[in-house]
Amino acid sequence: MDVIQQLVINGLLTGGVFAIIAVGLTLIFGVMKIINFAHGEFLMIAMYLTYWINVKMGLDPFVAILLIFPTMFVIGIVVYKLTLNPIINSREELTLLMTVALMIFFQNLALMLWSADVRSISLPYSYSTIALGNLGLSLTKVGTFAVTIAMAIGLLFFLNQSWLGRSIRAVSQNRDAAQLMGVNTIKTYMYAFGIGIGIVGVAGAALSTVYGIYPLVGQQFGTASFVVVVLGGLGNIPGAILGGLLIGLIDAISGFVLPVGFNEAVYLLIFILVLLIKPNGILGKATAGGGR
Amino acid sequence: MLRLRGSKLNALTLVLLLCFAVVSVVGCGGDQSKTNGDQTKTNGNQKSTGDDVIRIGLLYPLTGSLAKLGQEEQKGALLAAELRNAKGGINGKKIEWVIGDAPDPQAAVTETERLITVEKVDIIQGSYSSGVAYAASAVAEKHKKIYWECGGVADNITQRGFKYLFRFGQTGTSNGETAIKLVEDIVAKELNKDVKSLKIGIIHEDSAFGTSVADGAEKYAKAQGLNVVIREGYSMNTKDLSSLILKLKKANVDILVPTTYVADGLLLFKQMKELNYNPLAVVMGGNAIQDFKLAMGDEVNGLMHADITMPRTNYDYCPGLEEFNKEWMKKYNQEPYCAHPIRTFAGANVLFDVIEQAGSTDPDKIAEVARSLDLPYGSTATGWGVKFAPEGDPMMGTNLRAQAFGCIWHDGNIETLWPEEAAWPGVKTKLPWVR
Repeated sequence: MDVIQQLVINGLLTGGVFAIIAVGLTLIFGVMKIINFAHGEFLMIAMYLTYWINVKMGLDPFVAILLIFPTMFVIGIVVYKLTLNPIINSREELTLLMTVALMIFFQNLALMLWSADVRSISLPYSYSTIALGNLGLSLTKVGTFAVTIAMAIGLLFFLNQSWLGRSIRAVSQNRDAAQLMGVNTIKTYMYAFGIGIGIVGVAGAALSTVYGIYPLVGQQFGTASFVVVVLGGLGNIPGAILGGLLIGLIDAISGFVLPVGFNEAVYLLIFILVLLIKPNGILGKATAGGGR
Repeated sequence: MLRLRGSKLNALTLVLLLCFAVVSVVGCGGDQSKTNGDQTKTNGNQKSTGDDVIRIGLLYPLTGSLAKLGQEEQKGALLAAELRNAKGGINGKKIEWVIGDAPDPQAAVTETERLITVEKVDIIQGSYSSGVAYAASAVAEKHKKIYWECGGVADNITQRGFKYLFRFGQTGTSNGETAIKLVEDIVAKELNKDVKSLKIGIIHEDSAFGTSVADGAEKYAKAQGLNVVIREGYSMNTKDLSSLILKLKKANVDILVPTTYVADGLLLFKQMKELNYNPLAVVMGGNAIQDFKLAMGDEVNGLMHADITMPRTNYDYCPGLEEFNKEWMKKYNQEPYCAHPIRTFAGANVLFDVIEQAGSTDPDKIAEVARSLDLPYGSTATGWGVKFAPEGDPMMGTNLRAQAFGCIWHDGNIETLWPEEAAWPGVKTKLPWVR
């Protein structure tokens, strides 16, 4: 029984990891219909930035989040303005290709600047666990989970209560109608992208306490994040979190019951089933006519 | 200005996009000039006159995900040529490497074609990665050119009956077997237990490398009547190994034999500690590298590996190793990150000797001389001998006198402890491995 409980806890904690990355991805897709293949690479950049901040300034990664979010936000906006904004109105394939190009660019830039060495941040609590009865919970993963929840709450609050947040939602529902209501769509897209990247930046800062950092670390999370996003419904933030937790659980339990190598096969199979039965995702609704 | 359905691509954006593109391309070919060292002029654009130099292709992953160890291996070969040239070269001619970059098997194919058809080399040394080796050697064989493999360990590289392929290094099977031999000869003895009573768990990343090592370990262990309770592969990109660790815990695995790459290896040790899984000993099937020490600090002491000959191996058993260590320290001001360059260094030296004996780089002559070599263990800088499996042997071309040695972290340094003749003086075990 203990084992099952430990598996569930592990699964949920790992799910938090997937969720935190998926939230930014789903926001970007939901608002701008951009499939951001470079999402993992922004994660990687944030992890490296956190590493250097920790090494040079001695700041704890969770504290560094306060620096990382604005930095990645700005980076997101700059990248968006330079590469995606000019082609945002053209075919979706072009923006997709652009994000693929960015992915390759950032991977090789990191390889060139920082080499392929795997770096780790050592913290006094890197190995600590919180005891819950007989179970051990990894402290760093619990921290990541807490950050995910806090960020999701903050994001939902922002989307509902602020003018920019509401413009973002308006634009994602019907861009033309939003423009008629006085929303500057170009600026809104830019800020939405920046926020999405800021969020994945926060993910990177938190995850730097859990995983090793190297130029291709973004690839590690690639497939799973896309599965989570589609599973939860494209553009649906609570869906991304729920999807993340679900995938984490499936991953953990199947890894115990079946040979570990089958993990990805199991959750991809479930993913196919969901797409066949409920293509808009678990929490997704059928999109109203309009959109672009 | 270009117009794309309502949007404008102005000149500035175009220039910036071009810069991105340039950096991407440069990033792909970026590190070549750094690792070329003295050979910067020989980057393939000059065709030699043929009379005063011996041109040999050098194919490694210098960019991409395998770049780190690919570059380290390349450095070993570069050093070997430097030292040999300082001693007069081969039959009075200087050795000149013709550099190729093979970040993956697809690139390996095109680069090998280029080295052979454009650069016109007769011999290519490579490759660190088994995938690259497998692909590149097939191209070389097609052209009837020598492929001198010093790195790839996958058994299947030399299971194709290739006439012009020679693998100097050990196989993955050897890594696996040595790991189990360490359990038999060292771990069981020190723990004062009957080796057959110990529960062994073999886990591995599931690409060609990890699988071949695990296969070798499992096969040998079962042949010796040992108790292998778990054998499982996982993806090296995994984000979480806790389910696997819980399985190992539940089965009460005493001795863990993991074969990992770097990131997953670090994840494994981290999660083992979090989940409080402490086997009596851990014997890794390879990858004895500094990253583990950097991540684990003093706790790394006692961790064992079955791997290539380490810098701290008995110098009497490994002629040339002491010189390698000295020259490497002079050049790079730090110890090698891993043992891989020692293998390429030793392999390159054997190649130079073969070219010297053959009197030319003609592939048929080289193959003949190489196959005639019969050097016992203790003849090269890796402590290995040289005897390539002959025609008709299912593993034709592999070095029958190469095997993984056992090493252990002791006082923060990796030291060889098995076989006994190769042991570093003063090496000590730490069993059980308590963290």
